[in-house]
Amino acid sequence: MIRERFDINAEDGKMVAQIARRSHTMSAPYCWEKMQALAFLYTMIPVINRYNSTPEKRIEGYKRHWELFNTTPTVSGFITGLAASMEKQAAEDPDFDTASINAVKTSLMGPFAGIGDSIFQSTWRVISIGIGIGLAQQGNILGPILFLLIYNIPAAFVRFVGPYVGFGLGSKFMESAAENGILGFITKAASIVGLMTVGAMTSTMVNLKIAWVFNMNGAEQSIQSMLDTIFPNLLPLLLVLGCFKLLNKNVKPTVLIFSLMIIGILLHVVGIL
Amino acid sequence: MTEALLVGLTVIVLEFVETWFSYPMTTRPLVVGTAIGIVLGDVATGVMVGAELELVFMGVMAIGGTVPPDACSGTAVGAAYAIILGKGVEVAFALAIPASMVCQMLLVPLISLRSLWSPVVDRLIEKGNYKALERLVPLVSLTMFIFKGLICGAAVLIGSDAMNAFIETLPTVLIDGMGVASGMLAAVGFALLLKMMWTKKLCVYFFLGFIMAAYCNMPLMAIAICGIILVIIFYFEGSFAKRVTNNVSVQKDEEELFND
Repeated sequence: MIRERFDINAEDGKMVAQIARRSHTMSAPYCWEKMQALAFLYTMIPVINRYNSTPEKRIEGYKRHWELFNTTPTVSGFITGLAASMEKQAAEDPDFDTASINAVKTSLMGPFAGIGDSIFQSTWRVISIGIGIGLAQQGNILGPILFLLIYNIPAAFVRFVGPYVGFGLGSKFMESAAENGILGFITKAASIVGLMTVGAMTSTMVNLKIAWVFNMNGAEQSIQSMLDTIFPNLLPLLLVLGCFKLLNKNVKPTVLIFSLMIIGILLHVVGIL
Repeated sequence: MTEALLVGLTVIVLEFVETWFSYPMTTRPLVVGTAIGIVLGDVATGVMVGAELELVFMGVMAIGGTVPPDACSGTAVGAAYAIILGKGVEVAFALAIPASMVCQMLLVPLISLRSLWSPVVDRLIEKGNYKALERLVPLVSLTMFIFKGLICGAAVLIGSDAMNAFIETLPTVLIDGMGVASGMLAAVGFALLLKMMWTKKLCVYFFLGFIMAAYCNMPLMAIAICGIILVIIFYFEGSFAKRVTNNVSVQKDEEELFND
């Protein structure tokens, strides 16, 4: 049904399904110098072979896609689908400038990584973890199962639909989407939802309570219960903001984790926490 | 021995699924802990260790080609120790973090080694040998998982007895302290997430979410849905819808709008 929607015929549909399958491996053979290039080439091999029959043309095509590429694997299908549609154009039209294929790829990988990272890697992952983790903390195996299901149902949908959208709509639409700001809006929207969830989880999942109780004219007064009436979970909030400040000052997360552990243990031994 | 083998194999399988199926999150601590729990026969402990470590590693995610502490191997080793030694979540915690750092240090050179394949790829492209290229892809990606599995398996094999002896000597107040510290460590994960998303214009939403949870005790899903509703309101009521329809004339404003 998605094929009819984008007017893709059966033969093209088979190829696009193959692209969708191969796009999944986008980060498997990752290396520092060309990043996801090998996986992109792997995805494009059937496309190049289909549209080019002579070995020279094919080799030229393989070389074209053995270039640096890096985006969020979940949304990479949009770009591989698009690249396939441009390969098709290149095969049909001898005047087509093949350099534009790489130009489009390079111009889109940034915006798509922006959307992919902000929607899937930060926002949606955090929300689905947040739903699963409550059960998991009690040792219930439904927690991780829920997490995987909630995360993967929309992600799998995007992974499979991406190449159809990219192939069906072609380069003009994608470029205009990148230019008119819709991608920017989606990134911003995901950041808003993501920040709200992180804020909520700061309150519910960071545990920092003062155990120290002081004696006032014989009456015991717990500092924590005083704090709770004024500003519940103030300490977790301050702790997260403090860590954030330090990270911005280029303190390494590793250093931060170890110092927090040592501070936590020391304060517990002293009896404050 | 069997335990080490099982842990190593589990890591290899999870890593394979993660990278070959476009990040389905199978190498997140929550899932790794559960998988180790299943293979070692103590699901509840595995799930709990996974949940606690997930909070620490939450913000740790490979974004834009960075190598963060390796959450997967850290959790695998930590959960395996917790189950084999039967010492609970606090101990897993103290072991998982150093293990993840060691694995990170080992992984950077391992990924660098992959660049050695590049000349092979170049040569195959020159020959137009696409069949060999297709076979090369799994080979290149496998090199990494196998090393990772070996590292985790070796850590479990060598470390168990030494770790046990070491933990026996620790006073209980220290172990309890680790429990307290583990609650605080989630702050690092959230701070890392904030670092990715924080902009001056958008940071109010972080506080909005915090207030909704802290004062109103709203569940997470409700807060996320409120966030989505807010975004929809902005889309229709705000200036965005107008800007798209006549974007030629207002291109300049738009740049300002999205330039944060």
